[in-house]
Amino acid sequence: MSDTATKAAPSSTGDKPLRAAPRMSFGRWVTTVGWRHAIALIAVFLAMFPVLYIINVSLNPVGSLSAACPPDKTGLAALTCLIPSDVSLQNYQDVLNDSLRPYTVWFRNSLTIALAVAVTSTLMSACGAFAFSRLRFKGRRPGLLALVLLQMFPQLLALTAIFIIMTQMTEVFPQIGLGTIYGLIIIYLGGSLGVNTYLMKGFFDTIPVEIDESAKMDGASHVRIFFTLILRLAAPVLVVVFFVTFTGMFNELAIARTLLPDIRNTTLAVGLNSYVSGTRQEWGLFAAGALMAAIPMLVIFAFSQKYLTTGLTAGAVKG
Amino acid sequence: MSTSSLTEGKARTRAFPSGSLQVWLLKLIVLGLIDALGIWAVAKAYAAGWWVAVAFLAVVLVALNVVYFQKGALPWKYLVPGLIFLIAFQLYPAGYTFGISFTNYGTGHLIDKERATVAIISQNTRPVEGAASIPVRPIESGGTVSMLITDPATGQVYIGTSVSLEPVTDATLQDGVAVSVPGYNTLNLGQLASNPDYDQQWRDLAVPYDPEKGFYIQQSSPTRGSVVYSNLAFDPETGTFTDVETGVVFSPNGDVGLYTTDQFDPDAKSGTPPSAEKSAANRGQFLTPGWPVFVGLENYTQVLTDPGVRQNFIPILIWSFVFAIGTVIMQFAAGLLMAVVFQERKMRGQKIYRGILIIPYALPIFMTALVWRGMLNRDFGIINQIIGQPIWWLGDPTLAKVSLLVVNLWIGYSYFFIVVTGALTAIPGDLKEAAFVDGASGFTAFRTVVLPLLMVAVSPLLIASFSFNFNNYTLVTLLTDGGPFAGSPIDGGATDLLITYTYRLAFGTAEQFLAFASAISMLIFVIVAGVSAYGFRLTKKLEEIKA
Repeated sequence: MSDTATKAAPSSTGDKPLRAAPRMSFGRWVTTVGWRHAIALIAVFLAMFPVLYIINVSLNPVGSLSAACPPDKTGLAALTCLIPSDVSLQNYQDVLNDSLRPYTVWFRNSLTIALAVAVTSTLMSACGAFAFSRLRFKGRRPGLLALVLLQMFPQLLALTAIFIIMTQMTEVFPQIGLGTIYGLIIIYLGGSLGVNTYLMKGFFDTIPVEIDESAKMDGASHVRIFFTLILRLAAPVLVVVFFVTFTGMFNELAIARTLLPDIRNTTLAVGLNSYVSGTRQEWGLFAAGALMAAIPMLVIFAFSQKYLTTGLTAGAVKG
Repeated sequence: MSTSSLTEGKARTRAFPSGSLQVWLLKLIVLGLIDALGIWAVAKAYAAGWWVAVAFLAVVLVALNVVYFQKGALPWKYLVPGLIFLIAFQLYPAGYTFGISFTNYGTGHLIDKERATVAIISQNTRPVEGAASIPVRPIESGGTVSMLITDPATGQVYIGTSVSLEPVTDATLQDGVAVSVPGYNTLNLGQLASNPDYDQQWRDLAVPYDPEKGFYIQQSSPTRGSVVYSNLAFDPETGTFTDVETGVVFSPNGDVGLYTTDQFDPDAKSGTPPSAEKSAANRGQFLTPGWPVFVGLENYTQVLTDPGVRQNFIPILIWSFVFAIGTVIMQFAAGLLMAVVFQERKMRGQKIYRGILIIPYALPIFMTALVWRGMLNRDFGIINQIIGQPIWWLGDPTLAKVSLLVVNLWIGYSYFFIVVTGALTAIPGDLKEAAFVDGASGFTAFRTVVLPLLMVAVSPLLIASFSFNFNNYTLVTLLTDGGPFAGSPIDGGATDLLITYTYRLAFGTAEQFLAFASAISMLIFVIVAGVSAYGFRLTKKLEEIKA
C-alpha cells in the first residue's frame, strides 16, 4: 500500500509492455481506443451540461429560466441554451448587493466555518489517530470500537438534542449559542472527529513503526515524532481528511439551517436555497451566487486532487 | 511558531524526551488561559443552574490539568482535545436523543412542570375591566424572575412569585415606587430583550393576588402591571387547578404530563403520531401546556404497530433502502465503467478527460442539486425543452424517485471513479493485463480475478456510501424536499428518506414531535449500524476467499 501511496495520481496502468505498433488501422483504432473516446466524450458532455447551463443562466440579465432558454427552442435547438447569448454581469452585481439576503455574509460564514472545522478537526483527528495507531493503553480496543459505532450515528440524527443543548447554551453563553457561527463550528467539530480518526488510524498503521522507533533511539520526543515524522508521511490522508471535512461542512444544510435560521446571518447552503424555494424563482441570482460559491471548493479540490486517489483508497483498505 | 523551532533545536542537541523550559512555559501560559476561561464558564453555568455543563466543564478542567502537567499519560495527551468535543457534541447529544425517545417531549410538553403550571395560569387570564395600573419591576435572583410590586393605594411593597405574594420593607423607593430590593437584580428593558429566558419568565409570571376567586397580577410592560382574572385557580397546597366557574378539578397526571380531570382517558388517541390530547373524547379534559414525562417504549411501539404511523413509515423506510442501495450500485457501476474505459495507455487526452469528469464531485451540492431542480422544472426546464414534452419530473411520485437517483448518480459517480482508479493501480499488473486485453476471455479474467480484488478494496467505501446516502438529507431536501406529497407533509412524501421525514417531524411544522422524531432517529441508527455490520462481515468473507 505504501508503494502506491508515494505515486502520484495514476494516469496509466503502467505495467503493460509496449507493443510496437506506431500506426494502427482505423478499425483497430476504433476497437482499442475509439470506443473509449466515444464513452469519455459522452461522459464529458453529461458532466458539463448542468455547469454550462448554470453559467448561461447566471449571465442572462433577466434572471429567469425561460429568459435564459426561450421556450420556443425545443429539441436539439434547446442545446444552444448552453451557450450564453446575452452576456451581462447584472446578476453577479445584484447578488453581491442584496442587502436583505447578504450574500457576502453567507460566503464569509461558510468559508470561516468550513476552514476552521477542517483545520482543527484534521489536527485533532491526527492526534487521536496517532494515539490509537502508535501508543498502547488500556481501553484502546473498546475505544476503537466506540469510534466505529459513533460513525453510524451522524449528528444529523441527534439534531433535536443538539438544538435543545444549544438553546441552553444561548441562555448561558450567548457568544457561542444559536445564531452564531461559533456555535455551529463547535457542533461540527464534535461530529467530524469520530469519522476522521478511524480513517486516519488506518493510514497511520501503514507507516512502518521502525521509522518512529529509530527516531526515538536518536532521542526524538513523541512530539517531534508526531509532528515532523508521522504527519509528514501521512500527508496524503491529512489532505484527504481536510478536503472531505471542508466539503462536508461547506455543503451541510440540516444543522446549519437549524442553528443559523436567520437569513441575514447564515451559510451559503441555507441562503442560496432561499432564492429558488417557495414562490421565489430568482434563478439568475441563484446561479451567480452558486457559481461564486463553487470557487473555494474548486480551489481546495485542485490543491488536494493529487492526494485524493491514494488517500481515499488507502484509509479504507487498511480499515 | 518561533518557540517550536527554538525548542526543536534544543531537543536535538540535548535529546530530552519531555521537552525544554520554553515548551513548559508555553504550556503553562496556554493552560493558564484555558483554566481562567474554564473557571469563568463554570461560574456562569453554575449561576444559570445548568448542572450538566457545570459537571462537564469541571471534569474537563481537572482532566486537562492532570493530563498535561504530568509526565506520561501519553495517550491521553493526544486524545483529550478531540475527546472533549466528541463527548460534548456527539456522544452527549446521541445519549440525549436516546433519552428523549422514551418521553413525550415536544410541542405541549417542552417545559418542566413548574413552568407549565405558571404558563397555564398566565395563558388563561383576561383583563379585569377598570383595574388600576400597578407599578412593577422585573427582578431576578438565581435565574428566577420575580415581580417587585408597589401597591398604588397603600404604598406597600411586595415581592410576587408564581406561588406567593410577600410584603417587604427594605426596598429602595423612587418617587414612591419600589425600584430595587436587596438580594435581587432589577432587570431593565435591555436585559429582558437580550435574554429570551428572562423575557419568557416575565411574560408568564402571574402572581396570585386572590387566587380563590381567580385574580392574579400580571405585567403589561416592564414597569406596569395590572390585576387580571383567570377562571383557573391554582392551589399550591394540593397542586391542582380548579375551574372557579364550573368547579371542575384538574390534577397533575404523571402518565401523560398534563393537568387532567378524572374523565381524561389516556388510551383514547388519535392523529399521527397518535396522542391522547388530539382525541375528541378528551377535549376540555386537560390543560395546556403540559410537561415531558417518561412514556417508556410508546414512541417505538407506535412506529412499529400503529396503523396510521406504519402507513407513512413503511413506504419511507423502503424508499430509504432503495435510494441508498440504488445509489451505491449505480455510482459504483458508473465509476467502475469509467475507470475501465481509461485503462488503456494508448488513449490520449486522459488528463483532460479526468479533470472534467471529476468536476461534479468538486462542486457544492447546494449548487448542483438546485441546478438540476431548475433543469427538471416542468414548464421552464431545459430537459423538457430538449424532449419537447412537459413531463412533471419532480411532481410525479415515480418520476421524482427516478430523478433523485439519476441526479445522485451524476453528483457522486466521480467519487467512485477516483477510488476505483486508485484501487486498480494497486492490483498487480500481470493480473490486470489478462483482464484488459482481449474480449471474451478478458471479461472473464476481469470478473473472476480483478473484480474480487477490487471489491475487497472498495467495499468499506461502499458501506460508508450506503450509510451516507441513507441519511442524504441535503440532496433530497434541495431537489424535492421529500415531495411530491399525497396529503399533509407531516405524513411524508414520495421521495422522503427517513432522515428528511424525521427532520420535518421535529422542525418542519408548527407542531414539533421531538420525542417521536428521536425514536425514529434511534431506529435509523440501528438500521445503519446493522447493515454496516453485515457489510463488514461480507467483506471479511471476501478477503478469506481471496487469501
